[in-house]
Amino acid sequence: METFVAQIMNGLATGGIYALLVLGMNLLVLVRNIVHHSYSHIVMLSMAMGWLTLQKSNNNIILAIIVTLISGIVFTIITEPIFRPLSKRGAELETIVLAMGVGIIITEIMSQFINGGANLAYPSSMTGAGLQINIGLISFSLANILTLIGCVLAAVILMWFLFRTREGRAIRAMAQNLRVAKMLGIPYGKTGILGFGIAGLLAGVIAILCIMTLGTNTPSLGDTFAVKAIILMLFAGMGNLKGGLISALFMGLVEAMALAYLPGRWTEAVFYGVIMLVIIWKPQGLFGSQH
Amino acid sequence: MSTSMTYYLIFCGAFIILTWAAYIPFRSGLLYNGTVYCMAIGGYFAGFASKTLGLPFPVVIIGAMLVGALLGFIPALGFSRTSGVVTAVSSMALIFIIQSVIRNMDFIGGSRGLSGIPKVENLVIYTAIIVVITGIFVYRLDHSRIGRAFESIQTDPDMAKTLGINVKKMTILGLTISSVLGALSGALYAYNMRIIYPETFGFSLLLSVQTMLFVGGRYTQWGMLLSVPILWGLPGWIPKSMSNYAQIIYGIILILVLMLRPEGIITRELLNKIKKVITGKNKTVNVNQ
Repeated sequence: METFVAQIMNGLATGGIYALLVLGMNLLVLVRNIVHHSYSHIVMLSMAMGWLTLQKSNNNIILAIIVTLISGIVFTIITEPIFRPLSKRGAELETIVLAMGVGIIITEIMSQFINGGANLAYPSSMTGAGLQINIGLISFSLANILTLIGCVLAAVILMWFLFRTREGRAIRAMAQNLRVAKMLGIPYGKTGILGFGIAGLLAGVIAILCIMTLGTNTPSLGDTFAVKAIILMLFAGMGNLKGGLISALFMGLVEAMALAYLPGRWTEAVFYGVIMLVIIWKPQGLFGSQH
Repeated sequence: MSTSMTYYLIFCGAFIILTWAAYIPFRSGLLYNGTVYCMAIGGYFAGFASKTLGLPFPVVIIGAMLVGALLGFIPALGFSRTSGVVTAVSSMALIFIIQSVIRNMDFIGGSRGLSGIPKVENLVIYTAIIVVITGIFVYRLDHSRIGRAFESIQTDPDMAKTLGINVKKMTILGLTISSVLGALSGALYAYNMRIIYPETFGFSLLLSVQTMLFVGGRYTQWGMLLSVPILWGLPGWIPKSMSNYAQIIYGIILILVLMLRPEGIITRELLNKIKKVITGKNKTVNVNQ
């Protein structure tokens, strides 16, 4: 029973990270009609930047957090002009390939230049390593709880921004009907950069949460997360923010359960198999696209 | 011919076939990532059949194509309902599923890979013949009613339906043909490498296929003849000091092409001009986007 609850916490924590990734990617889909496959790679790169800061500044954690957040924003905004010609052409399909190209570049940069491609380990004060909170017989890892709280906070703030502020409504309006949005005076360029910037900030936050949960960083992590995030986005419906949150959390749970209770090497097949079947059954996504 | 040259040529041949396998669904507007999945199936079947069952080369090739058709047909049935982005992303899942399955099957080597695939003499010549035959097949397909049906589906699926084209059937047909070619390519690859791992048939291969397709010219079948040798030869041409940067250069080439010359190097207009010069005829082509 204890392991079951612990697994649920694990699943919720990873699910929370997936949810934030999906949220960020959905935002970019809404704002520019692109599928930003390399968003997860940017998260990993920001984590690496944080690690570099730790090395250079002798484990100054606050500085590392600030650098991670800023690098998230910077790298995401850097990719904006790359996607702009495709956005103008309305070529949604190609954006995946383009983003995959960017992703490979980021992965290569990480494996060549940053620590020679070895795993990056973060100091235990950041990962909250092994600190447990005990309620009765069940112990929860502090890192998981903090991650979960972080995810919930980030999601709530983001949803508040998108649904209650003028800029957020502008972003969603651009997604619904671009021409009318322009006619109504919504600036295409500035709102786009705003959207990218927010997604970048979110990427930095995700990077910090990942440091807490995962504790290490490998160059190939970007690819793993990228595929999972993009597939979860489709699973819920592209551009559907609320649906994305729920389904990502759910699939995080499924993954944790599969990891714990199925023989080790089948987890991936199960994870992707389930998602593929659902996508084929409902191509629009479980909740429908374009909220 | 030196061994490294034959090695390189066979690789080019295998990848030209693989890119053609990606090209055919793209003619109907589908970015199908299951070509790598079929390559894995073909490769592992070839390795298993020739090593453990000891079947001769021609039988294995035909067997790989049949197995590829079968195992590619089943997902194709599912993908006929989806389109565009959805197909692209969920076919990525196929790759992971097959990698996972292969890792679990120890009798074909599991994570250790399948080694000791028997050597085939004169593989270069066989590969060349196979590439030529496949090329003729792709050419005839492109210029037939089926090929035109594919193109109309890409331009406007709803209009295609009103013209009486069964979009679902055509999609399934295209995807199955793609699976056959993918498996064929995988078999050739396995015979060339003589050892294969599950990791080979993963993401970087997928990206390489996309690069070769998009950079070469995504609306024609001749583009890959140009992009495959160049991209495969790239590590050999750049100076040794930059060899670490090979993947980065691939990525940059892909990004530049997609941004600046979306149709790829060999566009339809370019083909038109060449045809005009050769035959003196004027063939009008509707260039969309």
